[in-house]
Amino acid sequence: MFTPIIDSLFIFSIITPIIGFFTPKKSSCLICGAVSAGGYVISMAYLLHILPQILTSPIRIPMETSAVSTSIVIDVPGSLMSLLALALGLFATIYSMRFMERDSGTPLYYSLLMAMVTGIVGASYSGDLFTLFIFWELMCITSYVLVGFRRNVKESVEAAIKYMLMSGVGSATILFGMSLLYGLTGTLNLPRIALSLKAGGEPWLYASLGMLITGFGIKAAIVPLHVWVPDAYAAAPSPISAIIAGASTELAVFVICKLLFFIFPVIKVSWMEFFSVFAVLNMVLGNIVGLLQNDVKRMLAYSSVAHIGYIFIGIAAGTKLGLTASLLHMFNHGLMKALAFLCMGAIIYRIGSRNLEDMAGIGRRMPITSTAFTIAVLGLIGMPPLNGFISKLLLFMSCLDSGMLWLGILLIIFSAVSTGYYIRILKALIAAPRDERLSDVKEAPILILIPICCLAFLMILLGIWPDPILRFAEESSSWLMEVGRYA
Amino acid sequence: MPSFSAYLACAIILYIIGLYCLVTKRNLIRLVMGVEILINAAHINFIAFSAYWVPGFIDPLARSIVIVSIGLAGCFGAVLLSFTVYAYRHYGTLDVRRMRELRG
Repeated sequence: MFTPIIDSLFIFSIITPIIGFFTPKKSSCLICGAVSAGGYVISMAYLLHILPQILTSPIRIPMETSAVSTSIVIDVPGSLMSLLALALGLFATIYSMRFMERDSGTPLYYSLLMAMVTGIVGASYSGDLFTLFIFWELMCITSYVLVGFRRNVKESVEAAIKYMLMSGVGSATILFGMSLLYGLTGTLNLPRIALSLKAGGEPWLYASLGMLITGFGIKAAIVPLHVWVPDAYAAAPSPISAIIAGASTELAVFVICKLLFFIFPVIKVSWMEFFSVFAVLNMVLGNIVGLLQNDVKRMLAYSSVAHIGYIFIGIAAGTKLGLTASLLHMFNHGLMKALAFLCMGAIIYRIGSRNLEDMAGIGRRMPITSTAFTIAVLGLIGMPPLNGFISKLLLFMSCLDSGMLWLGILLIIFSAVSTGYYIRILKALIAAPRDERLSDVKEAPILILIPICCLAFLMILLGIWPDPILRFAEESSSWLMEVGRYA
Repeated sequence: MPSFSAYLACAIILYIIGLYCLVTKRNLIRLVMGVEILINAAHINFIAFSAYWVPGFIDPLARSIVIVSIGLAGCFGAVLLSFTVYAYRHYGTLDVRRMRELRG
């Protein structure tokens, strides 16, 4: 149909519930999880197989342009994004094989999770706005169902409704913005839009730009539109929080980058002030409100809002270094936040509470999970041997490079402020146990530990040896900056 | 036949009506309708623009995106309405302001 990367995800997402129908209810969670993990492995293996070919020239599907000319373009920036999504999808699936065993309907859960990853992969490879919109909606609609998957819990139904109402307005706004862009240019193909916008500067173009950024900004949690983030992250099952925080928010930022650097450089609007304002707003609100939370998942959600602010710093810089730093931080933040949510999920699995006070002393009982959680939190702070440090350093350098020293100084100040709540998590982990309630808590099961250890290892590896991913991000940003290479 | 800008004005007015509905109404079913109105505003825009570029020729691309998007809006409405049913079972009301489990 499209490309083996997306096809294998589609096919496995269809056969997983069919297999689940024929297996006994008791073991369906394990068997379906293993089957859908196979789909991710096939898709990722094919992506890594064709990666050298992508680096020289993007692969277009269909090869010749048809009358409606919708297309999937397998290029370098999209590969960065979809590698992250596929890795997180694989880890979340392995993790769910034990984590979701108490829920019913798990075959459908795996199928929806896979469809969501398909949406992320397809949207990051889309070469025109039509394909982008379809895959975007695939991701959105499946994520609504997954956030409200535990439909018997009051909290998760309410969070899902809140999330759907905000995100639905976002989707409609995106469609309206696309229709204005289509009216201005007569095409939905991204490179062709870029070519036919040379005249530029009309008010309708600004309206369309504003609508597209508002629509994607709802998903990316730009500050006035971030209201759904803490509720949805806290109420969703932990692997789903990990995917939404680690891949779907990142996809929204990636699409904003793609649109900005692809379509809008021709109109020569200076978006630097605009994005630096939003970066500062996100950092301020995310870090200050994060300090007030007692629920760890809400705390991590506000830290996510703050990190989106850091990513916007690189976009606001607008240089090649800034874009590289943004893409790198996007990748690293995905890994770090997914690891933090998965560790939190393991703790919830054992003690059944999200409160910081109830976690006190858990480090003595669950040493591996707590070590991994510590690595994730230190990475989010930006400690030197971990991957968060490299990308924050690059973001700071990009500020210096483009003469916005004040933004770099704010980045450092708010990183220091954010340490306030990360330290609270660390303190709770290493504190002495307060009561006897925790005395019979054991280490998490092995299927939960495998993804956690893999992600922690990846974080340390990319911190010590950032060369391959840094070069990948650099190549991606050079593709995004030079639209002419796609023509 | 009304001029092109009439269609554009109609779409923008629909968009504003949808936003107004979302901001002022409290009933969940009305909020679902508000989102659907927003999506339909964009559809009208696409259909109007599809006949705008070349006189006498209607662009199939815009038609196809509208047809696909109608299906997607249907999915969206179905999921949101099913969550509405669960919310009614949990809270006994459809008033969104009474759903206050979460602290925003």
